[in-house]
Amino acid sequence: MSDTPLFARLWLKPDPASLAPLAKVAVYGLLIFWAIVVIGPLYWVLITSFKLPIDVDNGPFYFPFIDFKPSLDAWHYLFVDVGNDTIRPYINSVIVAVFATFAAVIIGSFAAYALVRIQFQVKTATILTFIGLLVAIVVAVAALHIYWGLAVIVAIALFLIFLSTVAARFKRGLGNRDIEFWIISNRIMPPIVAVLPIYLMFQQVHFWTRTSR
Amino acid sequence: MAIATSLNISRPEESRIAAWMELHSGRLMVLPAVLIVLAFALFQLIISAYLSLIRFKLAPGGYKLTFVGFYNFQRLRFGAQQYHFLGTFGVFGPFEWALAALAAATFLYWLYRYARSPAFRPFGFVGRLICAGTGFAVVLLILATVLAPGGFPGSLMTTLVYVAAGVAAQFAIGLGLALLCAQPIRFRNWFRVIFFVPLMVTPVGIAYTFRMLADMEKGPLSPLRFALHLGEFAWATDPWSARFVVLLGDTWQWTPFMFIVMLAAVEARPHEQIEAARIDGAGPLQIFRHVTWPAIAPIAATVVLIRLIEAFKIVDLPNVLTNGGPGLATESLTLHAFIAWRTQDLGGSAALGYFLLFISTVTCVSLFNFGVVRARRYQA
Repeated sequence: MSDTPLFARLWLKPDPASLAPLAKVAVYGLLIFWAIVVIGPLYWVLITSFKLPIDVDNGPFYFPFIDFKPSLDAWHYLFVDVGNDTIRPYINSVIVAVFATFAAVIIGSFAAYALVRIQFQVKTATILTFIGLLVAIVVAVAALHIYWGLAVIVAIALFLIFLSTVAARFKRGLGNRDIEFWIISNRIMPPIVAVLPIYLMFQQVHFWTRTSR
Repeated sequence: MAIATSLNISRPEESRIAAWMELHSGRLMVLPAVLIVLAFALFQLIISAYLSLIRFKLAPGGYKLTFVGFYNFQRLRFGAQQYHFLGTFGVFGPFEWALAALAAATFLYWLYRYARSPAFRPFGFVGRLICAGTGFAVVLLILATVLAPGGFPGSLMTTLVYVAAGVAAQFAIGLGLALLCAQPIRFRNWFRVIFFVPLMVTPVGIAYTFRMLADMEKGPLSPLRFALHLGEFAWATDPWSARFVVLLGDTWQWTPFMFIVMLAAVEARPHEQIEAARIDGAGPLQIFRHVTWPAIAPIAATVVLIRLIEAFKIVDLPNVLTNGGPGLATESLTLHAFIAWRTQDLGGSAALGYFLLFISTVTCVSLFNFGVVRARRYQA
């Protein structure tokens, strides 16, 4: 080992379970570089929150107590001067996050458990009829101005008649993997496609004109 | 009997209910998810399809919807909104024509090979035809709006740049960090925690952070401007530098997602095979190529697919960071649709949503069929 040149020794592993000295330097160097990339922006936001507007304007200043005198002015404004405006959106976020996560976990777990344990066979004709009736409801309500309750009841009745009569004649069907892919593929839907109908429905019930506390 | 008595299911009607529940438990368990997806996806898709065929107009006491057929789609492809959606087309020179011909020949050869293969299925051919057609249209768009002189990309091209460059960079960095963190070194748990942090920051917060960082007058990198003699350089005034800053923010935010999933995949690779390859004298690159990559490929393809789905919906970063500017340079399709919605162009907004849905579906289904499924077969 002592006869090996220094440069060659830098590439040698001391034991099979560890890295060669140069490899170790390269790994630590790259990891530390990315750690700086990650922490840098967060550090800048943190120290900016302790700056007065004049410190931001005269900057860039990097080190509190050295470059500039830290101030709690921004935090005081956020939690004391406009405290309610800070707390309310925070509580809104917590409520939405907790309930949405809870609902997603419960509903998703049930569906996942059933899809793993039970083999489903949904007939393609049934699915196409269901989609066709949904389209018919939209056309009836939007274009023909038929009362939506009536349209829904007629569509349900037609669907039940289809299920109890013609549906049994069709053979081709979809299995569990198709249902899984269909549920997951809904993530592909652009948000605007989901938002527009909700916006119009809320317009219909004058949701936007109501005030919230 | 004693058990039945203790469970209080001795009465016939209760046992009937229990039997019915047992029989239908599968359907009952799937039903909530199916109903949610129907209520929040299928129904919305149908309503949005209808909206894409109408013109929305405010009227006394509410609004008026006028049926206009495919006018909203035509306006985006050939009409007044073409520059916004597809971009401004430049003039093709010999180089652009040559590349277009090469792309056409490649796609045709791919289809020909499938048509002559024993695995040929009519449904598969139609799928490949859609995939090749979309791919060729994207190549033409790149040539006409990016490479051809006088061309300028629209929101579709900008979105494709975010998706392709962003996901590729995030995957490469995430996989690289995962391989580094899987090495036998000290503090690796610390690095894992630190690298995961950006995923917990809200996208709007990240956009404001990068707005501060990219400020070339007062930001932390402003001394670099003087050191590199960049003069009065402002990234926000140049289209490609503005897109690059949006990509930087997106990469900073989403690399941890790739990292954490790929780290789990790298740590689950077969260590016995790696050890055997090492004893046989294989180098690190050979071990990665022949042992690690086949083991992590299915997870890599799946995580890229998930990220692709989300990347197509990018809106927060360009909206807060640049507001879509300079001009339309950083405007993504979702931001374009959002701006159309804010200006009460609900039909145009829905049509944009459908174009985005088509592009992202073709991309994701193609990746699933040619990436995820093949990677799983390769592993098996």
